[in-house]
Amino acid sequence: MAKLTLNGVEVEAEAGAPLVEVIKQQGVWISNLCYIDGLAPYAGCRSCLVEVEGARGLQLSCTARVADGMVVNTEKQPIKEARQQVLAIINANHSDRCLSCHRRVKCMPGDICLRDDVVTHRCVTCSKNYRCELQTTNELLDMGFENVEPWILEDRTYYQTEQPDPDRANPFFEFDPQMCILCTRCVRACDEIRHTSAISLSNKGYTSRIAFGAGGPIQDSNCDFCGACIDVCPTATLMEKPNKWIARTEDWTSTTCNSCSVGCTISVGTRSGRAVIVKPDYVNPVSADQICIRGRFHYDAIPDKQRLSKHYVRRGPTGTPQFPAHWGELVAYASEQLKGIIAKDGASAVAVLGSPFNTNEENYLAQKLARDVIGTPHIDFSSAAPNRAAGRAIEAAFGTEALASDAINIARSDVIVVIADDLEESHNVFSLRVKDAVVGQPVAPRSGKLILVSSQRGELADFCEPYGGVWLQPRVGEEALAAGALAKADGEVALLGESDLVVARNLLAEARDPSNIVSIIYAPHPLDARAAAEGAKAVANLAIALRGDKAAESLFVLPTEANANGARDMGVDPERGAGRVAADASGMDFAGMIDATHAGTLKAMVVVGDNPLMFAPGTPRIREALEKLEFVIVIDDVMTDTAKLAHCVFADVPEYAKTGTFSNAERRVNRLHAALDAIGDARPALLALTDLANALKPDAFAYDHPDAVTDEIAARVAGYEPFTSKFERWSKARVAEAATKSETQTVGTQPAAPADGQLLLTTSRTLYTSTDGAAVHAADADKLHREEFVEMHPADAGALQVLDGNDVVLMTEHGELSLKAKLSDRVQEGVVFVPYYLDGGAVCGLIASDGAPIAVQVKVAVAV
Amino acid sequence: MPTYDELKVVGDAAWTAVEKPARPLFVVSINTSSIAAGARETYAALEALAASGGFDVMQTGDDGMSWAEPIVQVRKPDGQHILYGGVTQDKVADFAVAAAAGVVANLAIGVIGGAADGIPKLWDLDWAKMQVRWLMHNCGVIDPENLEQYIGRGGYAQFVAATQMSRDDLIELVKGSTLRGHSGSFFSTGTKWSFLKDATAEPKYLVCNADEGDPGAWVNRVIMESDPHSLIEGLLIGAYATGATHGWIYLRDEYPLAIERMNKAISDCLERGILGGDALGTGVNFTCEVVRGAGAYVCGDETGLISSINDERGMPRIKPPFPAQSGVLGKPTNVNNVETYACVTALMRVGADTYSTVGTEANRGTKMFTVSGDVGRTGCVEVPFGMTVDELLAGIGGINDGLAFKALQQGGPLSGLLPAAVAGPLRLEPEPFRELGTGMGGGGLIFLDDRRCVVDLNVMMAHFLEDESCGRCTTCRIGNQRMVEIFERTSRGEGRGEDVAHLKSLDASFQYSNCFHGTLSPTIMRNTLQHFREEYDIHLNEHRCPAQVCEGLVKYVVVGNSPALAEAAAICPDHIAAKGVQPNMDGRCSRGGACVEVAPDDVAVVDRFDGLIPLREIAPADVARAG
Repeated sequence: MAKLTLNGVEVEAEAGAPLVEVIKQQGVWISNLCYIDGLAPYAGCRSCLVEVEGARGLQLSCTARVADGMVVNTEKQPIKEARQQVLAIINANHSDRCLSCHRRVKCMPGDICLRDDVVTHRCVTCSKNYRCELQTTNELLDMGFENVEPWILEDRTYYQTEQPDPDRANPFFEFDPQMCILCTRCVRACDEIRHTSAISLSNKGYTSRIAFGAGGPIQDSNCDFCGACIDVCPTATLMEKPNKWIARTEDWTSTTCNSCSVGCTISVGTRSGRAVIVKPDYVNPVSADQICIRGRFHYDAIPDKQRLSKHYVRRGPTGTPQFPAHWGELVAYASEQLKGIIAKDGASAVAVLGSPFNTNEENYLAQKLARDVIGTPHIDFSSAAPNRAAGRAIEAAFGTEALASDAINIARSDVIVVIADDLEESHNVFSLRVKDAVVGQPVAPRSGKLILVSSQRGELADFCEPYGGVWLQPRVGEEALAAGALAKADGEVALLGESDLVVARNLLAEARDPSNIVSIIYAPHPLDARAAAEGAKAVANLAIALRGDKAAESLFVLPTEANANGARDMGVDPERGAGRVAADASGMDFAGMIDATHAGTLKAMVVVGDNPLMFAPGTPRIREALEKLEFVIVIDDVMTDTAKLAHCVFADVPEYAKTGTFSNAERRVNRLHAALDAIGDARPALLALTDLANALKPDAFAYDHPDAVTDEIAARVAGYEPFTSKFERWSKARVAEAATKSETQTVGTQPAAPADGQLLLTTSRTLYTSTDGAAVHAADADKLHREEFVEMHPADAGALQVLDGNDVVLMTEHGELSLKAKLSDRVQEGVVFVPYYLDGGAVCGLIASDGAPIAVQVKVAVAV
Repeated sequence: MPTYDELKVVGDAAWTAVEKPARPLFVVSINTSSIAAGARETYAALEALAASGGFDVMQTGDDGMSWAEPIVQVRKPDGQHILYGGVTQDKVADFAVAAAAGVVANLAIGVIGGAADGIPKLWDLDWAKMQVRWLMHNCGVIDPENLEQYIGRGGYAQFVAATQMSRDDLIELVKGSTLRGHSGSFFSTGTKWSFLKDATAEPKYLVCNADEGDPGAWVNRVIMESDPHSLIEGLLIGAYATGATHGWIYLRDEYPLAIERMNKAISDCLERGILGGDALGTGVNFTCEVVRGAGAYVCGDETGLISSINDERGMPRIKPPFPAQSGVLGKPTNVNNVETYACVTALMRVGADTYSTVGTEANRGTKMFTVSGDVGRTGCVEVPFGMTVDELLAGIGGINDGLAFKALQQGGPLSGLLPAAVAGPLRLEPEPFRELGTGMGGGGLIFLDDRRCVVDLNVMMAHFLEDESCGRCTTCRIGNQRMVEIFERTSRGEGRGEDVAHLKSLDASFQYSNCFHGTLSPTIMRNTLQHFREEYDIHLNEHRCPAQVCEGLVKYVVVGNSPALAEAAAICPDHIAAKGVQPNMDGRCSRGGACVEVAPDDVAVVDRFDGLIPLREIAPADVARAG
């Protein structure tokens, strides 16, 4: 530590730390318009000038480093004037009439400008007004007095120069270069924080400009719309388009994103009880200042009017209309019907579905409703099979599936093995941390080596070979085998290129070094339970082969959906109760429920937030079953396909209106706080569950607040003890158990590949399609329309005479699907890829209920 | 691979063959200046006549006499060696025959060897007498594309000799010679080399800055086009001294001939084992390559240049780390310019003792300068440090047309502008310039006569600086933009009272920039306000350009009606006269000035805002006659 004197006050700071950060940490305000905390200084704005005694002239505090005995002044008049001088130059190229106007504090939007200024050139009409760093900087630096405003009474450069047009062509970003002060924070955020490099500084001199890609529209570049550039932009140049003009928040609420199992902590900005903006919440060290397009923009994936604002009841047979219903009426009707079925066919004629999108509290009450109130052992969720299969395989290897591996280590790893379809798309921020491990930041370069096992070309593939890693490309469905081959010294080499395997083995030798940090990340297939189980066995074997007793500390198994782990921890599992302990009575899993319905033994189903018609493979058979059920209750916030078949629909509130907890991929318990108001009559699912339970069995549930459930979970569920309702935002503690063993298992053989000439249909979670949009089949579920295709390899397309953009029909033995073809080498030859969520999980209608890749015929649609 | 001694035998023979040729040898200077003057055509014409004329033709580089190009030297078997200038293609036929047989007096500039009646010795000319040619030892002497001739003239012996010394001794020798970076920075080369030698990381790299972007400077071009091996030898000596293993010559793409000749020189050296490992049996492993610069002025800054070599945006970066710690590919790197490396070769050749006999106490040795502007003898000269500007000006024949020396713009747009009275007595070494708050720069000297306008010069220079800012620092990017605006409007007569204060405020904020492009951008502006304030004030307050240069402050009026006027009207790009419009055409005139050149007696340039001269109409008949 070094001691320095800042404006006469002695402070301690780490020697060599950037001075500007120390100044800011001390609560001393300093203009710094181009600096990004933690990154190398760019030193472009030149506005963070300070006096360092003994140094010649003024110093930039962003490039100056803390040294012992340093005496720093920021507030002396000449220093301030120098900063004002620099800021005046910056202002000269910005629309700045209000920035330096002495009357600015008196002006409100809509007022007449006393300086008779052009209305479009005024801060009060700027979308960034009141939340603009440049504006704040001007105010805090007392700009606007004649002695420091050398350009007063002049025609400004800004008004003389022809300005480039704004880019408003995409649904997420607005890019208005007129406002740009060329601080290049966006360039560096995209490059150094996101490792995407979609933004660059182009041209030179006075024609310098920020450019996306080759300078065209943003959506034509390789931008992923994560919004990291927006967060750092000090002006109105880069802004979220959906909320550009409305994001003047009244309140910020910290909660957790539900778009995948990374569980990024986010801050939801609200106005009048509606979300108007989402920003990353720094409290979570894994997601830190980053989220992805889903977290930032899917809060308004569908408009409020498409969410349920009323409860519905259908008293007639399937096909008759549902009518709005009052809460009390609905609870009474639902409980009567259930009671009737229980009396008639017994409690085991009722099944309950939880959901990986539910909070732990909701899932906990759902299983409690099933087991304790109704008395049925049949509880599951529709997409549980792969997740459960992987979990069981991990448990067989280590004695527990709550592994001790901590995601904070991913970015610090020396060797990373990723086995996933496309981690960038399914688990964006973990993928970002993998990239961090490989390249780091310029101030702290890293040289982690990535072994990527993926049949698809994703962004991570670019982080292999150039950085000493390797990308192994097994055939679709053979990922587990490839991972197994890596684990064995004499593995089935035939699966992989010889040279790749040599590189991989050399890297694995590094991974065996106990002093290295190793992360093995496995994202199981979202539908194929058998592949998930075999894959999990293989990665467990690999982890054990590399790390021995410490294998469990390196292994991550990432479920596709946000709270899949939490759901099973809460006992939404036919065999395990809350805390993953064996249930008193073993029930049917989801597939069993469908079979039982067809067999006529299952009569009723309570669906808590689940949507089997979207998430589970084999849709036609599921639909038949749901139609056959005598009574279906659905609790959801949108009218899903399943809800349309229900007899009772309880309108739930959106996820960001809920209070509770989520357990992410590494079983870190993340907190949700209600940020939004309910829409219309909608009430939280917890209330529906409580009222339903109490109607079925008086005084069954005595919860007056979600926190009561949270506290009960903390008291009753093993591993959840730390997470009482007092737990505020983010906790270092996780639900992790020490491995009791490290056992290798035999990995099953692969299914036979389809016959020659047949294509294989596969799917996985993609980045852009929103869950809510997909659930209601919204036309813009993927607002960028990047994913509304079946992706084919050009060679296959050539053989079938399919051209890029052709309408094609996919046909399997289970169904068919019409959509447009996109030719790309992202998929392998012989494989076609349809996004999991496309059109509300339409692909599930094409595949068998085992979820495995299936032979498919592709035909060009004939125009009618 | 051949040893040095083996190469020397071949080299001596090659050099003797062209120094004392068996039959007349016509040596044509082929360099960028001479090519512009038609030397390639001259060469081709001579070659066509060679067989029948009984003589040989050879090319050489640039001997600095741009004012006399195309230049042909004729070397005779008897040792007579005469330099002829202005041998354009049309003169070749007569010249070749006459020069092969005897002497062509009307084209001869000077005698280099032997004697010829009535023709002065070249080295007795004022232009030559002031020079000491150590760096330009081979310039205009050998064929730059011929490694043997270079070795025959003593090339690569310096490198071999250097390797006989210890690395410390060598660096001490360079330090002791007072050799400092000739690019304009004047940082001790020996000290810089010792940084790289002491750097711990491996490998180490040398970079040669050949991105000579200053308008009016082409010193490095002369060396690379005339004596590329002297640069490679300097790099090799540097590689031995510092332990560097690879070098990059960052060569601007505007120098295609230099790129060609450097590449040829490098491939010759690779072929002979001089580059590419165990050079000439000395154990020095070094190789180098040419990197073509894409034309950014800021890549002349060493960190900008390194960024460019690293495939990054060519922007000077924040220091530290300095290149000696982290340069190309993040490894320790030493950057010197072409002249500096070549100077090491020269130093080793003439020897430290001789080297210290010329120049001043602080600056031993010589410096190459390229002189241009309003002087008769545009070209490149090599003079000892410490010669005054006036002496040099006298040597190059003074200002053109007997006009007065108004100002010196030395060392490019960042170095300054000095009036004749101040510049004239200045010694050509860095210190006197620094004392005036300016710089001497890398060797460009632009002399301006009194027809030039300083405001106009500022507009041009500010535009250059604005264009070439890398875009990082607001102070430079927008500051230069502001400077352009202020000077442009001043040159239009729209200057404002507060402009001087604005310029001074800009000057202060420029100092907060990262690299020299920013901090030195206001130098010429500051010099203008210091030394040419009167002229500036006339522009500002009286809206008048005394030199009648600023386009916005002059207008063209017709004062005569000779036949030339019709010709002028015909070439007028604005078709003012041709359309029958009154020739008091101020509003539509684009002020190209071609009419004044064509019809100087008929069109006058006058102040736009006062002193109006009554105009005479051009009769439509006159226009018709001009056709």
